[in-house]
Amino acid sequence: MIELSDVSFGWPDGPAVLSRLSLKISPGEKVVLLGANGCGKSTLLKLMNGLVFPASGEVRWNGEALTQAQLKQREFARRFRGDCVLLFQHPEAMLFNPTVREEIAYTLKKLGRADVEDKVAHWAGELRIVHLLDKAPFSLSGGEKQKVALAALLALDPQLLLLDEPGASLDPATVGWLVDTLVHSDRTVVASTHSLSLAAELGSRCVVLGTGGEVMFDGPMRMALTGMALLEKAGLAHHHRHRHGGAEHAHLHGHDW
Amino acid sequence: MSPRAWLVAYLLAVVAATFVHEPALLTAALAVAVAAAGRGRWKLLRRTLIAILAFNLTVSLGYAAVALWRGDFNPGYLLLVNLRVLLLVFLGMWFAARVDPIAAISGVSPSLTFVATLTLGQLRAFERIANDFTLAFASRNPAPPRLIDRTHHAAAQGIALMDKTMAAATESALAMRSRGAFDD
Amino acid sequence: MHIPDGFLSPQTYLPAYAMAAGAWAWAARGLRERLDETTVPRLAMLTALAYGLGLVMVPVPGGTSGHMLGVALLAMIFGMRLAFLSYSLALLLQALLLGAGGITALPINALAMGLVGAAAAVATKTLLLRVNETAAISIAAWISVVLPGLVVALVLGIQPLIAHQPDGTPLFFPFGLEITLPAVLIPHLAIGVGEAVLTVLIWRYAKSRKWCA
Repeated sequence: MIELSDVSFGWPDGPAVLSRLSLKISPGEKVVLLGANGCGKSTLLKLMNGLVFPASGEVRWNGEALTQAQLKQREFARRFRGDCVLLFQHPEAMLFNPTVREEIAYTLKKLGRADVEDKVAHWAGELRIVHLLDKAPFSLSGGEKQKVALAALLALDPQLLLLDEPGASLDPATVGWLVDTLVHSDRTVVASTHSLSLAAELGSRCVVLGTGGEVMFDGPMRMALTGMALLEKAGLAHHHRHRHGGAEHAHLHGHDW
Repeated sequence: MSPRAWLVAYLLAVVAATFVHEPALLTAALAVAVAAAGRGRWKLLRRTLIAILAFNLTVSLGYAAVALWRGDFNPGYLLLVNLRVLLLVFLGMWFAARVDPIAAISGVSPSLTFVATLTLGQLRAFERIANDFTLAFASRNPAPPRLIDRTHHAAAQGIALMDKTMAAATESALAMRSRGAFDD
Repeated sequence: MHIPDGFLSPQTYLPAYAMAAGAWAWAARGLRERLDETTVPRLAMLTALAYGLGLVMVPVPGGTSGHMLGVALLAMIFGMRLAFLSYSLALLLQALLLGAGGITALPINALAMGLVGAAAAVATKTLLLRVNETAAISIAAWISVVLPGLVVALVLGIQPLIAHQPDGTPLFFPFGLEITLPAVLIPHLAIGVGEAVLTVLIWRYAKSRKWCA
């Protein structure tokens, strides 16, 4: 569905964030991008959503090259933006409409989709934000904003759902809902997180990003989470002294920061 | 040389350059500056050119058009002004890249230094917000947005900034108080 | 207005610095009277806000837009002195830190936008508030963009007069008032409308959160 080949990227006037990264994601997969803060997970998702473009290497969406020129073409942009969506880590960046109702309907209307009101009602119901429909998005709490953004994205029925640190603002109940809804659906999902326990729930395939923006591991979730040496190298596990029972000792373990 | 000395040197160089009206002298000064800038010199020069291109091109072409029509065109002017701008903007970029401005203005006033330090942290966060807003808008627009959408979007960005500002001001005042900054 | 260094004569920016220094001292003195422990963090955050608002693109019909000024918003919510000082400080940080240059244009921008813009906004709002709040805020914001534009157009336009070769060739900015006035003012009239719309929308939010003085 989406493929990155040998992609390198750095923000303007900044160091390289990703170097020579290759990744292939097939339809229906549930992939977790696991890595410490600052390792490039957000950037990778933005590359996949065609928001920034690699300095070298290629991104392909269903076989077609995902480039700035390509996205300037009306037809391609319509298809792509309706099928590949990104939930930003800071949801307020995504919201700008006067009411939640209009917010959820926004891209649907732009795509000329039918049954906009039904879809809005359905997804507001699913995410339990019906009581917020006539409120202004910027008056909501962080968690509520993220739910609104999520509803707006899911209403499009996208093929590929990209989630940037979904555990960050969502309350545990909604995270549970998310896991239930997404993980058992046909949608392709790529979610980034630095939390080991959330990673375990979000997908079956784990891509561990190292602090230099390279792929350190790409394989079954179970293997990733039990590979302590790997996790330490990726900045996701550490040594410290602690107590088990009455004895104090030190060993390597992971935390859910 | 201390950061403060660099600041003074930079300011003096800027003033001096605006009193010089010989292209040859300005060229020499530019050559010296570029040479002295060290390893990052070409990147700085490139950034300088990009920064001044639009404005200078507009002014240069405008001057040429107007002056030719009036009959008092003097190509020496174009050489002088573009060299001067190139030199001054290069010096500015070099200064910004090499010198810590906080260190440079410390000693002018401790309050000023304090304010500048606090500001910088918040400033970076705001740049990140601006970037996120721009990208998120692109992500949610499969077709070019209407004027009303762009208006809502700009207002939402301003509101997000105000939210963060008010929260940050309270936070840092509380943090300062807890660290004893207001006890004297 | 981002005027690169090199287009303003020392006969302009040196006296401007002197004037600005006086204005900064006046503003700082006024603040000291009302100084409390929150003033320093507030000034810092407002400086960041002044910079941040400058990153917002004002939507104008036709696609191309200018950057928001934000000085009307700052002045109407936080007062003229804080608005002037924070805007000036933002300009300073931009010049010294972000390599955006403009150290010679700084006093002009600070006085035009930070002082005149802030004062015009506050005065307009005070005058028109009893008539209609939305109108007051929008006109105040519009004026806070247009009046500084006028000042900048004047300063640029007199450069050929005050600094030139014996034969009349300009040394700094080459266009006289007959060009700068329309060239600068006309776009500002349009950008001012966008600024007014944004200011009203953000002001309403600030009011709902009870941040307005």
